[in-house]
Amino acid sequence: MAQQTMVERYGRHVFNQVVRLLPSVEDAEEVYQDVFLKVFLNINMYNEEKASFKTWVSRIAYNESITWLRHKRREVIYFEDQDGEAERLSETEVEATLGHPNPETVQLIRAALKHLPPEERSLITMFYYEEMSLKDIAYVTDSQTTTIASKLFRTRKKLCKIIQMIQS
Amino acid sequence: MKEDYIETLHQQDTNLRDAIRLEEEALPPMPADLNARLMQRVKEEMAKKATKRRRSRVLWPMVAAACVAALIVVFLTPPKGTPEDGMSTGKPVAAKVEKPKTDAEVPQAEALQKVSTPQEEKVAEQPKAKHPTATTAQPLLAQEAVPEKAATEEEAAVIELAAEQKAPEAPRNETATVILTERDIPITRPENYKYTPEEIALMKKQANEAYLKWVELELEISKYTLEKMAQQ
Repeated sequence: MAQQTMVERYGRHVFNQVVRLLPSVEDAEEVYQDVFLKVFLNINMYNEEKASFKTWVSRIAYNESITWLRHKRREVIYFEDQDGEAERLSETEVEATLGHPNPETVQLIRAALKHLPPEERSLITMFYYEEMSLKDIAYVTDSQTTTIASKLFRTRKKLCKIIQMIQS
Repeated sequence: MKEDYIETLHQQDTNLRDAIRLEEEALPPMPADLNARLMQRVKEEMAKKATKRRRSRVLWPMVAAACVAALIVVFLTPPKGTPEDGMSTGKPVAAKVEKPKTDAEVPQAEALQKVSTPQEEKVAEQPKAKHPTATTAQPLLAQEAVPEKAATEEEAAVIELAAEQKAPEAPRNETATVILTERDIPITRPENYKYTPEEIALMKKQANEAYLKWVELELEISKYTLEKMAQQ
């Protein structure tokens, strides 16, 4: 009964998180089941002092998805800023692209999001859409808040660079 | 500083927020039966885990009990009562008794006997002189310089054997099979493990003789030393 309630309450959130990271719905369904099985089996390990239950479940879902991606080794091509061109973009340039409301830019950003690696896409979704704090994101990704902040900066610049590439 | 700035970005990047919201809305919907399938799988997994736990809970005490029982059996089993029990496997050892020698084989046996020790040569000569019994051989041996009893017995046995080889009798013409067991091997007989009173007496006698000889030797040495000193 408690398990049913838990699934109903956090199921959609977990599914969205998983399907965002994984390439197909079938894979997401498999990982979704694994996530809840892990949650039920390790419920005793939950420590409410560290994070909320939702964040703890998110952490398990994130880890399961990343583990699945590493094990399956699917060949997917993502944009990689190897020359450091994205890093050289100024903050005003980035703000102008991502800040000023423009429906056309929104579509460009949506297209650019598809070229980001799953981890980075998940990161900016957690921050901008789920409105999670840096601390919670750090807990979910098993990282530091400063690292998360740096990654967010880099991802924003990377998105701008991809948009510029798409426009050119 | 960077973290604080990042928090303000959350409100600034409106285009990015809208794009992500639209992307999230475009995500495939969650299958309706997914939770039902999940609960079914959870039930199966839980049952499997419970069975595994129960099986291990049932199995471990049994394994432990078996180990304890084995240890008890090992420690409480009395040691083998007699060495004979351990030695004799009950399996009879079939041994073929030598075939009686034919006429052609007899000279060969004689030649073999001649190659052996001088004592045996004399023994072998006796049957040739048509005195095949041990009674006639014993006086001959009595003339020998060595009067030791053990040696005499051994020689008597050799004589008997030679006599038997010399005169193959009619009943022994057929091949006979004798079943031997380990009990028949002298080294496995328990009575041979201990010294007999005769052997102990003999050993005592030999020890006394050795002691006397040692005393004599010491006396001779001291005599020799005294003589040497006197000469000097």
